[in-house]
Amino acid sequence: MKEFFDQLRDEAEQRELPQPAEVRARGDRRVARRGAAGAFSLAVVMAGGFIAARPLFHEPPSVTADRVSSAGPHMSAPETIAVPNVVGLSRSEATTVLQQQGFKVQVMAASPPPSGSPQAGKVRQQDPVSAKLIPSETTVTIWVDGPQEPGRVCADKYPKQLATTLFVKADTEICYADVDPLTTISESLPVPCPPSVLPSESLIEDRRGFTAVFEEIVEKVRFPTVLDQTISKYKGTGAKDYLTELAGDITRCKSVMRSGARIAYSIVAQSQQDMLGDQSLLIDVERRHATKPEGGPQIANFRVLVVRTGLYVIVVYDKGWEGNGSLPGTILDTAREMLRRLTVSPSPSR
Amino acid sequence: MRNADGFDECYRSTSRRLLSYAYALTGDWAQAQDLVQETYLKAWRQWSRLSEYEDIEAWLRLVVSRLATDAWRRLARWRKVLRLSHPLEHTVAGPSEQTVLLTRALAALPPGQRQAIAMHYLMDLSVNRIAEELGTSPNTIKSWLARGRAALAAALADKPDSPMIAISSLGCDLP
Repeated sequence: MKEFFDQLRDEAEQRELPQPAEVRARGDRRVARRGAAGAFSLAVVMAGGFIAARPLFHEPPSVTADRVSSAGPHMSAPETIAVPNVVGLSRSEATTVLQQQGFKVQVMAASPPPSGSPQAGKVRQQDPVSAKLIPSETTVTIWVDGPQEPGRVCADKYPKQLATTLFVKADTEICYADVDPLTTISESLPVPCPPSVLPSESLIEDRRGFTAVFEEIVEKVRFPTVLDQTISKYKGTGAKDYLTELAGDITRCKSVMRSGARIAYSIVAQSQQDMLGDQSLLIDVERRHATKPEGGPQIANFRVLVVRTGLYVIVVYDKGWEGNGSLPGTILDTAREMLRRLTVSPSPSR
Repeated sequence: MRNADGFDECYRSTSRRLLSYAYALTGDWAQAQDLVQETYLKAWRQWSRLSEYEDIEAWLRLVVSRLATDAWRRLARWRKVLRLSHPLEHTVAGPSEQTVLLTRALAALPPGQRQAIAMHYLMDLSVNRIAEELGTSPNTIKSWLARGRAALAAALADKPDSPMIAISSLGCDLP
């Protein structure tokens, strides 16, 4: 009997386990996420007004250092903790998250990238990089894309008359003109074959969407996750055409390169009646980065749920958190609730 | 303040043993790896308190046991997340035939017997210590171990050419 167990022990020696420092870093990141979740939700709600109220940066990084805060918990000796990933967050969100961990924050204006569309007001880069173990009270520098004009008007032409109450959470309104499907991977609607425009686009009567932070509970721990919710109202057969054309494009194009990542779309489930609404489509979006991005996995999968009810199409696009997808239940419940609200009252009032 | 060096030392000296224990409970290396990682994540979170414990490994074992028995399903997402964010290199061959046989046999045991057997053979714990950790009497543990070994012996002996055929007096070597 003993030799069987000895053999098992030997095999355990050969198995991969992370280095202890990696485990500690991961643990710290988990705590950071949990701690940030509550404050982050609040910060996101406030972020729009906050950013709109103060002009961002116009000068190059070397001259626009902006010391935001040196606030942090008072300690006799600083603790070594992992830097949370704040790339992609707004300036105020990132500042909140970092300060909560006891770091000092220095904000710099990022220079316009050589290509691609900057995400105005979002952190493009951070130093030290996420997961790096450094003493708390150390200054973390973030570079924020700008400029963003106060009261800036979104360039898309949708009337946006769909009521905010149709959305489960309406934290930040989506500007569909901000996303260049040729370069940006952070889309709110799936674009499998850029730059092709679906014929049904011409039949859109209205389109509106919101990005929102949702809460998920895993192992009794609360984690944030982000979903983009879009509702489009079509004329004539537009809604039905959209699902057909989208499914067709996914089959036709398979994958596309954007910003150093290969984006591959695949249909997970397609239903005329069974799933949700009159018609629905569940899509998997795989982002495969050429090199591992800072603070996220090299290959990340997200789900997109597209539901048609009459002339309306609901799209719930999972953005996840730190490159990790949301729980399927969160996406489904959100779509289901939007469908319910739309069915009860699709009135186009604000 | 948490002592990172102390944690690292504890991790290095106990994680492999804990991995074999987790594998004995679950019969799946990937799951065992996840359980062990999850256990040390919890340990690091409360390391300042835990590092004062006399026997930290007992605490780690308890967490692994709990996760293995009733919480591992909730780890499904984290397994995916951890694999995506820190993919393990699959350079290690699958379990040997002997280990597969053993884990199949272990899986057929009642949870208490399986745990007691794993603690005894993999963690080298005495009957009294196992009894203490599992909250039962030493006599019960002796009985579990005897029954468990008999069941394992029978299961392993079913395999033709198994070395277990030759092992007839299965370890009456309890401390």
